[in-house]
Amino acid sequence: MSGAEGDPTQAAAVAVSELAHELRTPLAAIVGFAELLRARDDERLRLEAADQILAGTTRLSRVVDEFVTVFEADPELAARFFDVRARTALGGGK
Amino acid sequence: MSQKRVLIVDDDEAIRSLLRMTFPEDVYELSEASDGDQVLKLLEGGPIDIVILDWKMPRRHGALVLDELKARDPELPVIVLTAEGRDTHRALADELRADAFLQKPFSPLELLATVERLLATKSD
Repeated sequence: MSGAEGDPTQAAAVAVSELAHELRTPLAAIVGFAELLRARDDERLRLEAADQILAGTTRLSRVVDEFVTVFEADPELAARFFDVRARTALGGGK
Repeated sequence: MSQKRVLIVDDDEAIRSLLRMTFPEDVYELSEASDGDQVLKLLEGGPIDIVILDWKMPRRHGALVLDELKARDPELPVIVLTAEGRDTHRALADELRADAFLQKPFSPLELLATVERLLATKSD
């Protein structure tokens, strides 16, 4: 679980893992609370869900801002990202 | 019917909050740990019926916790709940005898159904 510093492949795997964690954790809270809200009529849940969904979107917005900052600093990275996205057929969400 | 004791292990407070809301209070008694080290202390405090275990955690990785839990009690159901999507993590969890592997984001209702299924299997 450590020693990634000297191994580029391992370092990249760790970075991907960190990114997955940063994105999927707040997304899990947002999606999960939304699903519970649809399924249950509970005042305590409603209040907690509203707080957690707002907090989750704030966390995700911060990550999006960081993405944009990184891509602005390295436009070639942004081009590579969209190239990989197109080649892996991930760009069909629009 | 006695309450089922669920141990939630996750370093993220938002996920722990979601799990608290997922399990009806009249059916489940919850205890929580925010890292792997706390799990072992909580286990000393009394029996647990099922564990929901995060994978990527500070201090002690979920894989190490899973290995230790199964070494102590192979029959204790453990559900791995992780942001990791790669097959290597799922394979490792399988190898360490995880009873289920769910990726975040997850459906809390599906998680609840999985817990009910595993507890029913255990009591058979």
